[in-house]
Formats: sequence, C-alpha cells, structure tokens
Amino acid sequence: MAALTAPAAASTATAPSVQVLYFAEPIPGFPGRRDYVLVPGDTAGLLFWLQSVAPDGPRFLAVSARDFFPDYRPVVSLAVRAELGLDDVDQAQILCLVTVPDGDPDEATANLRAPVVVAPSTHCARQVVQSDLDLPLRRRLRR
Amino acid sequence: MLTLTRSVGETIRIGDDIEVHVVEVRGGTVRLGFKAPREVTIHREEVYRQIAEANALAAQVTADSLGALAAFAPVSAEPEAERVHDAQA
Repeated sequence: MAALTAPAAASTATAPSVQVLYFAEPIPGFPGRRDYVLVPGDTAGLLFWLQSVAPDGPRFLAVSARDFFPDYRPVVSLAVRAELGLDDVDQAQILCLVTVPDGDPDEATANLRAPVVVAPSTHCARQVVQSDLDLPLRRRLRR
Repeated sequence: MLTLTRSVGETIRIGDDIEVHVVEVRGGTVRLGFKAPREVTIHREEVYRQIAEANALAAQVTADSLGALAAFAPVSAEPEAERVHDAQA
C-alpha cells in the first residue's frame, strides 16, 4: 500500500497566498477605505477574507466566482480594465461578497450583481457593479 | 446642498476633472452626460445605495460559517489530489 505521507496541502499546485489589494474607488458603503488584504479562507482557493487594513475597517467573506459559479461572466468594461491594469479579463480574479443571514450557512448568499474584480499583476481591484439586473444581489450558495 | 439652474446644452463642473452636461430635458426627465476620470464611478443613487446596503450586510459575516460554505462549491471535473486522498481513505 502506498504510504500516505504527502500532506493534503502539498498536493495543491499553487497554494493561494495573501495579497495586498488597492481599490482606487472604495467599496460602496465604506468610503475612504482603499487598502485591503486578501487572505485565503481555505486551502482550495474557494473562500477568502477581504480585510481592510484599517483597524476599524470592514472585513468581507468572499467566494471565488470561477469555482462557485463557473458560467458567470461579469462585464468588465474597457475603462475598468484600463484602470485596473487588466489586459485579459480571463486572468482576473473574480470574487463575490458573501452574506450569511442569521449566521446560518445554509442561507448564505453571494452578490453576483457587484463582483470584486482583482487584476493579478497590479493587485488593483474594484467592485464592478453590473448593469444586468438579472444578476442577483443574493444568489444562494447552497444548491 | 448647492442647487444650480441649468438649461439644455449647459455644463456644470465639479472639481477640476468632472463635467456634468445637461443633454436633454423632456417632461419631468433630464438626460445628463458625464465626463470624469475613469477611476470615478458614476451611479444612479438608488443603485449605489442598493450595493452599499448589500455590502454593509456582507461586512457582518463571522468566521463560524466558513467550513460549511466550501462544501457548496460545485465539484470540478478536474481530478484533484484531495479526491485521490479520499479514495485511499
């Protein structure tokens, strides 16, 4: 029998690391907060904490949109791409902020109307509000 | 609040970099045009407020929920080492 010596974490090709992100346009509702850290919430790259560096700033839980919503294609305009330094939208990290009503994970929802788009090369980010009103503000995570 | 009266074709300047143009007025509706640096977002107020409120709720999430949420991600088609690990368990 093969020895199970390799720890699960080592099997992940690129373990997600902490990123320092800059929001030129603050996240709506939290004016003046432009500097955040993005911290992995798990080892599989599914969950993240988006934490303001300010001591009294907000912290958000976010999910990787590509993993949770593989068919999701938010629109990122040329102007936004230029601002973020994003040459290729497919390279962007797309995060959706999560709300957990009453602390019940079964009721957790992700905001697909306003994803956070992160440019991997510049670490610039922005919450990009979508015009498509069919995209839900609260998309349940549990299927 | 500052109020200004403008006619169609006239402009308002905000700071050094932002212009608001009155493009058309029809009945009780005004059509406005905006010139602003690309890092300045411009939203209808109710859209901004809706997103801000959703964000305010999202900022209240605690760490307890974390473990359960990862399980809600659809299973990817690519074989992961974790699955091999499960098969050997």
